[in-house]
Amino acid sequence: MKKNLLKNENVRKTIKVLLVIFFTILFIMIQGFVVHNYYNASFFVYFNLILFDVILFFLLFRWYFGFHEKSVETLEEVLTHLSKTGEMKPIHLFKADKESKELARYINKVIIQAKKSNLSVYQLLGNKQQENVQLSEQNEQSAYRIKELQIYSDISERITYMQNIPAIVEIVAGSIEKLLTYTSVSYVLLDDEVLNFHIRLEDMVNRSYIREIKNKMIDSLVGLTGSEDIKKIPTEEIITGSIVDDLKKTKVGSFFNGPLVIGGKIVGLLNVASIKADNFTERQMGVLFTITKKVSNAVESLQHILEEEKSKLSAMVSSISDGLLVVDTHLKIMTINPALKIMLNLALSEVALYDVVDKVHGMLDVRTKLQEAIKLDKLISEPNFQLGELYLKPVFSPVRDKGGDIIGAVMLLQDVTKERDLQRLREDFTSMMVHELRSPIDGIKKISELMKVSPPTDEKNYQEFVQMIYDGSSRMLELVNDLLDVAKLEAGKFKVQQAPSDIKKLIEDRLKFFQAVATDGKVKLSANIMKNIPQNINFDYFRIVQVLNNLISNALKFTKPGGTVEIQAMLHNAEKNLCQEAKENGIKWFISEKCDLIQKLPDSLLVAVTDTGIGIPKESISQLFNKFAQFKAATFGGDKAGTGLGLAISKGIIEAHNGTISIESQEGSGSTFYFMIPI
Amino acid sequence: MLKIKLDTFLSFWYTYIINNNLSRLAGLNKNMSKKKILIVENEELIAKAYKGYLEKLGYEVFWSGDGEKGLETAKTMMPDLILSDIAMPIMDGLTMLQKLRENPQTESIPVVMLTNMNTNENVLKALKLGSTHYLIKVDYNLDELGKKVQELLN
Repeated sequence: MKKNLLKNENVRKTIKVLLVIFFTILFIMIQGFVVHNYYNASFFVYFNLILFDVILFFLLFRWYFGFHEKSVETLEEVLTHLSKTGEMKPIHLFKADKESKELARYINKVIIQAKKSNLSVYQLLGNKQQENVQLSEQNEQSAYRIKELQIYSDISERITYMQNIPAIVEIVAGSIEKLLTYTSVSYVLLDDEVLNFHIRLEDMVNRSYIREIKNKMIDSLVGLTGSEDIKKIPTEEIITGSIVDDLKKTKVGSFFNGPLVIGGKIVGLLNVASIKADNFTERQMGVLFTITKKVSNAVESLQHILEEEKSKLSAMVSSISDGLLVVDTHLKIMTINPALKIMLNLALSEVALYDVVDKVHGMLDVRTKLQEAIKLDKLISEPNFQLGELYLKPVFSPVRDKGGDIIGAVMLLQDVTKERDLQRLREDFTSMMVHELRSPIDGIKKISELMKVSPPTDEKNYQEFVQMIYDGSSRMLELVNDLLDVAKLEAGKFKVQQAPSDIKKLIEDRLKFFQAVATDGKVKLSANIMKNIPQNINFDYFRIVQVLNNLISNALKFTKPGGTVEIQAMLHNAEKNLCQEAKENGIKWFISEKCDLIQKLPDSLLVAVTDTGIGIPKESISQLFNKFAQFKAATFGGDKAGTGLGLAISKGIIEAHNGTISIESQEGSGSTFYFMIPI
Repeated sequence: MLKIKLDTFLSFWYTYIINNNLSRLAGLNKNMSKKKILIVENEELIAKAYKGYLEKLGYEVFWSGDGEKGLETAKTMMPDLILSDIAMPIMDGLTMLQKLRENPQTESIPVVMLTNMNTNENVLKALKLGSTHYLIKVDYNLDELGKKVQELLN
């Protein structure tokens, strides 16, 4: 009983009042006592005491009424305040009428209860409605106002997270139900190419009703935006809710249009209509207007999210090197990346599907394939085609959203020009290789056939035939060896066996080997080897022999009678300048021309072969180490030209030593082929 | 009687001389009737094989290492048949063929392409330019080739 008594508000209030009175009297008594007994009364003292009383009384008063940050005067303000902030602090009204105070009391009760039961105020308000809480007639308006707030909050909470507009409309329709009776809720929303019209029917209507609503909305929209073109845009109609019954005679009695504003622009209308005339009070229209505003906000934020996602996707798509085109189900371009624009030679500004189709007209039916991908829901691969200098590979695929529904299609154009060129090069190389091997074999076969039919008559004849067979088979063997080396290089399985070796001995050996050929061609062959080169530099002796064979034989081949070929070898110190070192050592070569370009090389062994031949034109230098280019040249050169693969293999050998091989040349004067091996 | 004997002797002598000359003349014709073949081929091995074999068959064989030399030799020697490769440096077989056909002197010499290149476009090109035959080297042994040459020249 006692506890219940304490919980009763009235009781608590009485107790508060009594306490205040009690403490006031107490303080006055104490002061009186103090003054009377201890101090001579003076005006100043009394004044202070009174001041103290006033402050005390004020504090007590505040305690009684609760500490509030904001003072509210009318219920309207209260409700607005509540709806704006959702604050659940108890309300206190000072200058309100009795009825409002009663309502405020009621709300406070609800708030306290909400706090205890951890529900939202509005949920409780709703429940309270059902509990038939007694409210006087005059409060019905306020109660109505609360209902409005409830609806707002309901809508706000739910539509903020809606992913699409039709769902938003569903929620709005459901919420409005509590407010008023209506026949239909609809919206028109402007997209770039299409006008979306969605009507949700509460009751059965006939088709002319729907048409009327649609036309009224479009007219309104035209009126609001001032743009007649809206009437020309194709519309997409969706009808949900109740069914269409053409037997019913329904006319639009009254309706309300609220603008949907996004980014300050009117992009559509929200409409609530009824077959009853005068269905909407001013009050209700006010509510609808606010609802429309909320819907606008929700749609706007939804679009922002979509824009954000779109820009993320754009960034990703822009950086892809293949051409990418994404369209929606209407074949409107959603994304087109810069790579595609460059491929098709389109302007970098806005582009329509028409432009893309135009560029590949005749070679690829873009529209059909995109539609196929959407309708048949499968990946479509089309044959490669040539567009200008590019060889392109097209692929089409449908695009799905999170739910798995198809929302468009994507076309991917891959530039496979390089792959195809490489393929062609390889095919050429293979056929050339076959030709090069077949010729000497055929030659030997025919020579032996000749020997059968016409046996050699004398020693000279015999030697001639044998020499021919020897030459032919040597050539074949050389080619096979070179091809094997090239194959190893390609596969990355080319290994060099480095061991401490004597480069001086190697060079002198080669000198002896080629002396005969040099003398034959009336070319002077010599060597200039620095004395400070140690005898134990790490390299693969056999392979470096191969490299020098190649370089020296090339030099001799391209030097006319009377010219010179010199082999130079020196140690390069990383600190020093290469040209300086050469000068000091009395080396004459063509590298001096471009000495500044050769920089930052580690301590290395440098070997160069300098000839006074015809030199090499600048354009050809880059192709020298290219096996394809050289092989091709060799096959047409007959058997004197060698395999053409020598330089490519030499490069492989030197690079396997972590070195570099290069050439400096002056057309008409000569060339220096040189390589450096780090030590 | 001495006069008659001298006449007889002289007529016999003249006849003998003339006969000899005639036979020599006939011999020269025979020599001239030895057909000339020009081989244009940059591969020494194969060229020598062909040359040796065809000479054995009794033909006079000339050999040029590339198209340019072949053109010159054709103009000077006027062979009865030309066997030419296609892939050669300086001037290739098809270009040489074209130039041969352009020159009124050499336009009627039968040319047989003797090559390993077996692409359709080369065959068509050669036939268009006026070669009589297109043979693939590896398909023909020396004796088969010899038979073919004999066919063409007789």
